[in-house]
Amino acid sequence: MSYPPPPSNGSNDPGDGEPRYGARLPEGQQPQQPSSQQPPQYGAGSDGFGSPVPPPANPYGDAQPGSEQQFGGPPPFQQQPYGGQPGFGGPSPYATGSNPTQRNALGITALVLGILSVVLFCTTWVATLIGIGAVVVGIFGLSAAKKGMASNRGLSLTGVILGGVGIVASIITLIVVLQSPEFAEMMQDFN
Amino acid sequence: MTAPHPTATPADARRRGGGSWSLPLVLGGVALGGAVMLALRSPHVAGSYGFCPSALLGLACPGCGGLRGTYELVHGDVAAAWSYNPLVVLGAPVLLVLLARWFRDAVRGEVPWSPPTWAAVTVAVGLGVFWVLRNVPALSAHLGPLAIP
Repeated sequence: MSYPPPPSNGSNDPGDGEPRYGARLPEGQQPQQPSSQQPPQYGAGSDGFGSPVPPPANPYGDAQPGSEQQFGGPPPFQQQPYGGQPGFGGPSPYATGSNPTQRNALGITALVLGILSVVLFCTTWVATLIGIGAVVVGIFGLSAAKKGMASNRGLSLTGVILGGVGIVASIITLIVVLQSPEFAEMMQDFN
Repeated sequence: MTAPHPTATPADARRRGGGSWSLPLVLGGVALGGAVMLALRSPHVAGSYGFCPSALLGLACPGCGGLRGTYELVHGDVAAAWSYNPLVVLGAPVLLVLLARWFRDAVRGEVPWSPPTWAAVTVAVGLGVFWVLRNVPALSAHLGPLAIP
């Protein structure tokens, strides 16, 4: 969703819409007005990447025919104070400011990779790569948990530890195998 | 009013409403493809999937016998699968259930379930215990592939 100026409001800057809406609202809704000036964080669809132009007060306004807004068609004016406030709605999935489970996939991924690196450590370099992945993803998960964007810090930590164990065990295995006389014999058999 | 998150992007908004359902579907497809590959190309033939360096160690790592165990499981022989690698028998249904639940949550738009920390720690400790026990000669007949020629 983009923010072209509504055809009939083209000469107004976006802030002018605010008193115009406010004048028509009942008294009980006045205190909620300032929050509708904020950019619609999650209602903005694909245009949320920090556009420099402040969006109009009504995030859904450009979906309405602009000329009818001037004459007080009931639907736009009734819906706008409620629809424009992403911070207040309770059950909406877009309502919470910072979701504490948003990055939980990192912890789960780190755990799965850590388990794989330990289980497969006898494959030497494959397990080393998997373990490195577990440690990297787990560190990202720990960082996300610190920022309050993930709730499963324990899974990330377990993944990092398991990944470290897998890396150490697989490298030791690789060294032992490369130095074993059986490996030299096997290589001669291949050649 | 709660402060809006300053770095929220539409991708974040999509993520908070539940994950993508394509990833569990792809992982399920990979698992199915692996099962088909195992059914077509038997891991019982020496060298059919390369060789495992642990054969040179004389020790069994937790994953040893995993391919053969999965092969037996795909062919319906649970007892043989257990004798190659009990982790396959225990882990395969858990993984399938987790994948199904992940897919269901994503389709419903819910946040995917994350296992509790104690479960992860239990799995990690259990892996270590299993790794040691299957190398104990008295137990390897029940826990590992070493006793199987």
